[in-house]
Amino acid sequence: MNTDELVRALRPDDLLDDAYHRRRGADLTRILTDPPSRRPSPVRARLLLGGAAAAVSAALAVPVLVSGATGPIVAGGPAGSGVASAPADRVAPVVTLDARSFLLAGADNAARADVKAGRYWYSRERSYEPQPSGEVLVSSTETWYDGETGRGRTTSGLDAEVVAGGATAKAKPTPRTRDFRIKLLTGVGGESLSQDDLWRLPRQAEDLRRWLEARRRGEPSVDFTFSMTRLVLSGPTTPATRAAMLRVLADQPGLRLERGVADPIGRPGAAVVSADGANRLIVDESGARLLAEEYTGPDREEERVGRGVRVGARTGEKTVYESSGWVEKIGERP
Amino acid sequence: MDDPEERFTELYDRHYRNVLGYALLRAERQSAEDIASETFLIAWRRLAQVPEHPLPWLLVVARNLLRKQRHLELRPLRLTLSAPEGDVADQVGERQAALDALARLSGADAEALILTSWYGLGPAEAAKVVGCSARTFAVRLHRARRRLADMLNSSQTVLQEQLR
Repeated sequence: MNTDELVRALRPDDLLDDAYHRRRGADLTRILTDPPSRRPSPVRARLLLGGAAAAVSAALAVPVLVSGATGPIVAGGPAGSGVASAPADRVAPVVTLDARSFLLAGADNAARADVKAGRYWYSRERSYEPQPSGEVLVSSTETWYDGETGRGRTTSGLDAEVVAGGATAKAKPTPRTRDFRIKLLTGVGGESLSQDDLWRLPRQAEDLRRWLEARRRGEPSVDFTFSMTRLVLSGPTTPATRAAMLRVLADQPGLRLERGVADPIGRPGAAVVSADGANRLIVDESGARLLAEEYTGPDREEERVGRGVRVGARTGEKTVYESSGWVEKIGERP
Repeated sequence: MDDPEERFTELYDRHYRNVLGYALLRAERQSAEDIASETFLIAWRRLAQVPEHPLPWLLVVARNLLRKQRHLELRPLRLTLSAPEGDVADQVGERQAALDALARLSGADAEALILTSWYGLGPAEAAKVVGCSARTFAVRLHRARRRLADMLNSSQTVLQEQLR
């Protein structure tokens, strides 16, 4: 037996076979229901299928925004609803507000937003994923999901691009559409929330603050609050909950407000930035509608917390919330 | 194969054990299984980029995940490659000698031997996995084989002397 044969005989085939047979079903279920080209969301979704829990990375963690958000609080600001397309002119601020005042005004606007009835929660998002090579992968995903029946559809791989060194290469679009019937749960602080649970989140700022604090599990308050603001403002939550969330965010110390900015697809708005500059939410000028989020802090490693995983973050990651709202049928858009 | 799900499932079935075996060199069992799963999740998300001969690509992804999770050093191979039950004494002895010898090699040398003997990778493919040139890898592999053979020969000599 030569050295290669000797080393080959050391391969732990029994152990590998055991793991392969034990994990194959759950792995394939989890992976094949994951939309391609998505980065994990800070709030990891979990998928329950056939009674067996299997982790899924953010299958439905990012939908949406407030449909029918109210008008601007600043004269000249765009009301902005639906999917924006062409880059818009920068908005000149007429009134100077600090971040806290801006968010509180946004909360008032969010609370007044109409609630559109419908069976399916629809969202279209665009994600920007920096790669170690320096390239940035860009892709859009559309999702419809009815939490009551578990029926849904996801189409991913739309508008794929690779951006490297300022040059953009359009990748060959390979959109994949999958119809599914599964129960999607969003994990927050060890608790799994259904679509209905998200709808029933506390509607008063103080109640929501207590609810969040009970689930923060040691994560820095500012990071957790920004993550939850993304979830609440982009998810199927009530206008009152969104307003409460903005009030909770407004109480974070050291927030900065940047006016006259645009999101990565050119929609004008204002940026609310955490004191350390790492977390940046771009909202429309009403302050009530989330347009995009950007992470510009140092790379964060994935971290185990109890039985859960706090996913990492890479500097330069962005998610654009292009459109969302309730619709009656799969295929319809708000 | 046009159906991406079918293509991916075949990829998983053919290479899961290879990826897990590689992850086990640096991570304990639970973490290694999670890393193998994450590797295939990335492969699914990047299915269009997975090359025709996918194993080196998969091992690079697994290696990057291991590095990201701070599994930088090879674990003691004894923990990873425990002897299967039912081995006859000679096989156990031979296996133990090989394990001892491998454990005394540097991590890079042991990895070079494992990549070529477990996976049949050529120097160019294995070099991509470990992030060096094919020439550097070939030198490393040659050195690793010679050192392993030397150590095994010396251990046999010691064993024979003890039996006298």
